[in-house]
Amino acid sequence: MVDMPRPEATRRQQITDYALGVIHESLWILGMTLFAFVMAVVAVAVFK
Amino acid sequence: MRIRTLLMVLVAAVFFVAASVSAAVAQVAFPPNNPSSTELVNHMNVPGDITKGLFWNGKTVTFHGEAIGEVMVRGDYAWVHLNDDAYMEKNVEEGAKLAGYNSGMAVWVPAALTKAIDTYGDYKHEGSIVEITGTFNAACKEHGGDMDIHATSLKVLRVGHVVDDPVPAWKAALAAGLMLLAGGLFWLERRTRNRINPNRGV
Amino acid sequence: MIVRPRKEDHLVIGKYTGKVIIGVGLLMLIPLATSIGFAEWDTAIDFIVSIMACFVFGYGLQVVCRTNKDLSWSHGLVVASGSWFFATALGCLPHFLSGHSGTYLNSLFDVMSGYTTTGLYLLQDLDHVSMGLNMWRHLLTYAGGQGIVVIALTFLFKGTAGAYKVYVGEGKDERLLPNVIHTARAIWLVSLTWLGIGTVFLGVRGMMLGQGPVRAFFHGLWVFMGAWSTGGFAPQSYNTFWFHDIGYEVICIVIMIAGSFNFALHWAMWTGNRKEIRKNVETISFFVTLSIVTMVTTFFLAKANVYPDAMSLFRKVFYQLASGHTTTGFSTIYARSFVTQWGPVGLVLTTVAMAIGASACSTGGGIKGIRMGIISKALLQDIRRMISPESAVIIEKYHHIRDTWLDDGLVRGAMTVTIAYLTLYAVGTIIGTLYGYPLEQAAFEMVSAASNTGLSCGVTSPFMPAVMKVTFILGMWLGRLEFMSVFALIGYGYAVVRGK
Repeated sequence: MVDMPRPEATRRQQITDYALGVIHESLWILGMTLFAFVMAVVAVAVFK
Repeated sequence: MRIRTLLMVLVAAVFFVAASVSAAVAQVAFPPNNPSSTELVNHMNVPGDITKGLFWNGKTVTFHGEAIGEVMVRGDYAWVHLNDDAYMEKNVEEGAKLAGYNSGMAVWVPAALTKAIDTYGDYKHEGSIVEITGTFNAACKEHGGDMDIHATSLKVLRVGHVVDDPVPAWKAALAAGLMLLAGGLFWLERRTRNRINPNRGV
Repeated sequence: MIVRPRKEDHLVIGKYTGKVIIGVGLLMLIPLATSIGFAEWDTAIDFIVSIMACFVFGYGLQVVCRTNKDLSWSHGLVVASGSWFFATALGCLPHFLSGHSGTYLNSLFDVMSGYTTTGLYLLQDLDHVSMGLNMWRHLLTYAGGQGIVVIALTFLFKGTAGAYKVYVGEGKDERLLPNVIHTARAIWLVSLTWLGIGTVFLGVRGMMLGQGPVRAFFHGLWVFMGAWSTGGFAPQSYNTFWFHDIGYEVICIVIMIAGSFNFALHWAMWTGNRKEIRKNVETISFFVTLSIVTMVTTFFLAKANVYPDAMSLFRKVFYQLASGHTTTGFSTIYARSFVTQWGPVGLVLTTVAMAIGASACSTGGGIKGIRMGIISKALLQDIRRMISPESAVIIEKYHHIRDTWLDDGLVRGAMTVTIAYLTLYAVGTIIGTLYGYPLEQAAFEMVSAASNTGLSCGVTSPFMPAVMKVTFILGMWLGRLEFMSVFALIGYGYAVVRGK
């Protein structure tokens, strides 16, 4: 179907790769979100 | 001289009575704390100064609108969305004139009270018109800053109903005509393609 | 001397444009099936009429434009923008026939907004719209996010050399894989995987929040499409404010930001290159600018005491800014609240986030992270050159999947497009102010349209002046296709008229 850069990888490994990719990206984004939350807490503490 | 004074007093009395009657009527027709959703969203007291806004914030208001979509029950309480826009009584399918966007308020109400609402508005339904009384929050502390009304009472003003959306004859005819035309062109395309160049790929 | 296009040129363009429109017709089968499933007969007929209109146009062009010639670069660009034009004109028939739009111009606006993944809309009484029409609205953003050309490439094109030219004409130039058809399919793989995962998460969360299973599923699917495509359409007039839940908001944020990433980045992450997300110039640029804008807005709104506590402040500020910066356009506040609660400074900061936009070759819009990265590095390079001895050779590089040297041609390209965006933003803002809107609101709305964001502060409305509607439609179109293919279309028309 699609040319894979790792043609030696099995279908199962490919699916695992994709799942891990999604998880990895999501974790990075959640980390960013947490950072924003901390900033909000600091901001309110400073101004209240 | 005396008649003129008398006339003036009479006119003044008439004005006074008219004014009182108007005030009384206005009171009944538009109670002072019965804002529309537009007023609630634009609740600023002093234009341009957001620190002085929040005119309605924290006040008890009476609000009414069509219950739309669904009720989302979360434990003892539930979210209901009431729209008080131009489509509150009839929706577009029933012939309501187009008059802008939907507009409404999110209401947090005890779940038991929502059982009185029988119909929620969507394509096939015009929802019940519901009146609630409660506290308006410009940025609710309990709900992450949401603009909402915490209702303590709920009353159904008008029960909802099912909406029909029949197919007009001209549209069905147009559909049939276009289907024939498209079918003809598709067949023509298939036929002429092979004739011109049988080896063509695309 | 401008060479007038010959008949062969018209035939090539006609043939391939026709193919894309056939694709649009096929796409409409999904909302048709939805309408039939929910027994919405009038809506079903609306879709039949629209599908057949697409087929008549598409197959008509195939019959008339018979040619074996392949596409050249200029053809590719014209096909890309021409297809968008006709796909909008025909794709808006369901909206128009539903009776919710009013005028044909309003329908054009909504569908251009859908394809360009903007998210501004003029549809009235959205809360009473059919399931079929809602399916079409959201599918438009999902398809537009991929690129309607990409869709056509996947199914309807076979030749590859010309196909790549049309692909680039739509504003992408990432070659995920050597074969452009395979690249298109890889993009689909990424999008469909996220579609499955995202819909499940949102649907399950919806049911936990009290939605019935059918509504939870469709809302999950549609909100996913709006988030991933960074489109911003949602099934109710309350947008994602409907759910009143931090869990739903966090899931949306993850999907929005993931959707705003470059497809090449996804592909790299998924094929073993895990470090890419940390090293990529676009993700770094995005996180830096999002952090700065969030910090300033958070501190300003905290001082103004708009929200009662830290959690509310975070939820509202971060969601709106993430939505703006990824050019999604979801909101959890009323449109007018940008004006009445956030005020001019909040409006300006959000406008800046929208203007910068998401990553290149993604579903997002705006000037884009890669240009911000390139321009910053170019600035750095110039400063270093100034303070170094004359004989020193200073070259900067940036990392985007691969390391690339920053050469003058590259920088010039980035700056030209950036200036084009800024000019577009400015022109639209001026038109808005001429119609009486306050400057910061006119700017907010025009930048929202041209960066394909879709956040509104209340300027967009069915009663907006027609000139502004047309301005926004053109802005959305130019912004999404990154100018070049639209200029090519105009140039083609000019050459037809004035060429020798």
